[in-house]
Amino acid sequence: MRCGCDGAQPGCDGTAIAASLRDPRAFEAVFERHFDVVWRYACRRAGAQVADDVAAQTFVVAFDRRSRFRDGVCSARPWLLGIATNLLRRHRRTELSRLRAQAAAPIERSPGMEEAVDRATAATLAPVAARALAKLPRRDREILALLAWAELTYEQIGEALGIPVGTVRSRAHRARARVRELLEAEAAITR
Amino acid sequence: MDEIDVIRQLGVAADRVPARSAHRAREALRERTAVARRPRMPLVRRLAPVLAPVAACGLALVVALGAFTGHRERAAGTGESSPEHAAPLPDAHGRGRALRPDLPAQEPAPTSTAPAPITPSPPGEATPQSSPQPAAPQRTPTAPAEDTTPRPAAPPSSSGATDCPSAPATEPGRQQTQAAPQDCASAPVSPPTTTRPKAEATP
Repeated sequence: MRCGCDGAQPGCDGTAIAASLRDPRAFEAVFERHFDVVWRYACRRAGAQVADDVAAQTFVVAFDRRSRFRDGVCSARPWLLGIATNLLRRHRRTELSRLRAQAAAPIERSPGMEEAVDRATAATLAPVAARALAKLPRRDREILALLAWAELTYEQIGEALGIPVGTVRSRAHRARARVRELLEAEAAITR
Repeated sequence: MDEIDVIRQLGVAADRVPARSAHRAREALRERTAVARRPRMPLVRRLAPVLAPVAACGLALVVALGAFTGHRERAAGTGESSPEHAAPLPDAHGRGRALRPDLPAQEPAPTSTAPAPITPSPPGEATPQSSPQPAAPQRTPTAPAEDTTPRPAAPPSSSGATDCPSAPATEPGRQQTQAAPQDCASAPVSPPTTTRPKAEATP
């Protein structure tokens, strides 16, 4: 296994995973680098309780399959988030019930939210977005979650889910149009 | 404002990952890496508990089959025949002889074929007995008058059945009524070995 940067980058996951084939303890570097991102992504989708299990299981599964990590890739983040997405499919009911609860309850905003959007508008639109996400098909919802919460690009989403980039683009476009449609309708009502 | 920005505001964005969660996940990964660090036993040693009984059973089967086959070959070489391969020989009437385990083995060749070349039976001494009884012509040169005289029938015992070649061994009751009692009774009196030189001497 050979990484794209050939070990030149300091935080190269490909090199650490290749080293873990000889010395399994080298995989802990990948864990320290990406555990926070994986846990937050799982927590956003299914809650903190599920996120503990999913994040821990993600790295165990990744360690078992480390020999299949693609050559020439430096970052293991899309690969790890793809494993976490597959594991979160078992918690689909938890995710849907969580989205419905958010659609019914007022939004809990982060501290920097006021900088981007008006407080009243965000409080009004967030439950609508949650309702729209709950109505989306599972594949489209996964793409939007990876876009918004994991902040992956289209190429990385395709790599994580194992689908072509064109498919990712078309699904993302359809899902965003659906959410936008619902948000605009809600905004028209509030005006 | 983008729809992706609205989605980003959904849910609680944890600023810091709980240390307990990270510790648990790290321990789970370390357990797995510790298992992977252990040297793996070779495949033969891992499968030894399964392969050993299978090999033992196979060896026992091969030894048992070899012993059974050798026993049968030895039996065939010494002239013995296994009971399942002993075909019933036909009797003088062409009927299949049933197996009688209580009777000794009988060889029909000397009784039925020995009188065949020495049957110079004169036509005038035709007896009422049936033709397939070969013991009657053997005594005709020496004492032809004795054949016509009735004699007491042989006792229907197992020894009488073996002495009489024409009597079916399986039907002792029919032997008394159907077969000629003279022939059965006279067979031990005049064995074919004694009559043969006389027949050759007086053509």
